[in-house]
Amino acid sequence: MIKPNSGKYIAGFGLSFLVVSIASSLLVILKEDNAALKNWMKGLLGHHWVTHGAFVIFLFLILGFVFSGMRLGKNWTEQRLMTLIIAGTILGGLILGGFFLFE
Amino acid sequence: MLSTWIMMSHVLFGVLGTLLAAALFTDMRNLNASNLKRIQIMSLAVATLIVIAYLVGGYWYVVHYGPDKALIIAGQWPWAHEYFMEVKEHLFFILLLLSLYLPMVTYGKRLIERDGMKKLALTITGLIILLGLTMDGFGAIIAMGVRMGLSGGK
Repeated sequence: MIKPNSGKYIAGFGLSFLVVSIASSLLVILKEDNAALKNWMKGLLGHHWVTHGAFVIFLFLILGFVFSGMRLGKNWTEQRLMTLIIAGTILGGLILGGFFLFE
Repeated sequence: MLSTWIMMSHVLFGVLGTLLAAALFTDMRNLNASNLKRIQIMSLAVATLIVIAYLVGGYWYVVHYGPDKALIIAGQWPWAHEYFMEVKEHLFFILLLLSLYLPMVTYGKRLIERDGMKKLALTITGLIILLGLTMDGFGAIIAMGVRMGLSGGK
């Protein structure tokens, strides 16, 4: 039996990765299907992709610190974090790949 | 010409980051007290190279990609932009986050104390390699899309 103690920041930012990778891919669908949102993002930092990147980094940091504050690492094994990281990468990638395939 | 150098810098930093991640993966499989510091420095270097590739590539994409995009769309391989560039420019964010997360996992004593932490670091590094290679492949298809646009498909 592995004793769970993956550390608060590693667990917090691991969960943040999962949430943000999916949120980023969903934002792609939203902005591609909503011209007003895409124009707003373009107006904010000069290009929708620049705003998208800033959103991703900002959300990753904010959620990372918020989730770290919840001290999830005390009850989480690295195995669970590995699952989150792989799931975040696959889901984020599949949403993107699938959306542009069928758009 | 400046545009070409900027693009080549993006490719160079991306490839170096991917190659270094591959070296890190191998080194980490033999993790011990003597190579811990090197592994930590290498993980930080991977993150730095990928961040530079993101910044340089992002600048090129925003400032210089327009004419290439027009060529691709008007050429024989419009899907080189419509699918591969669209996916690449957004999939890069996942690669960027993984690269930023990697040093958080490798720094600290847990990496050497807990076998699970080593497996987590190996997983992240493996995904960075996989996504880095995907970026390279997609980049090659996009470049080919420009070529098909210039040559009229010949």
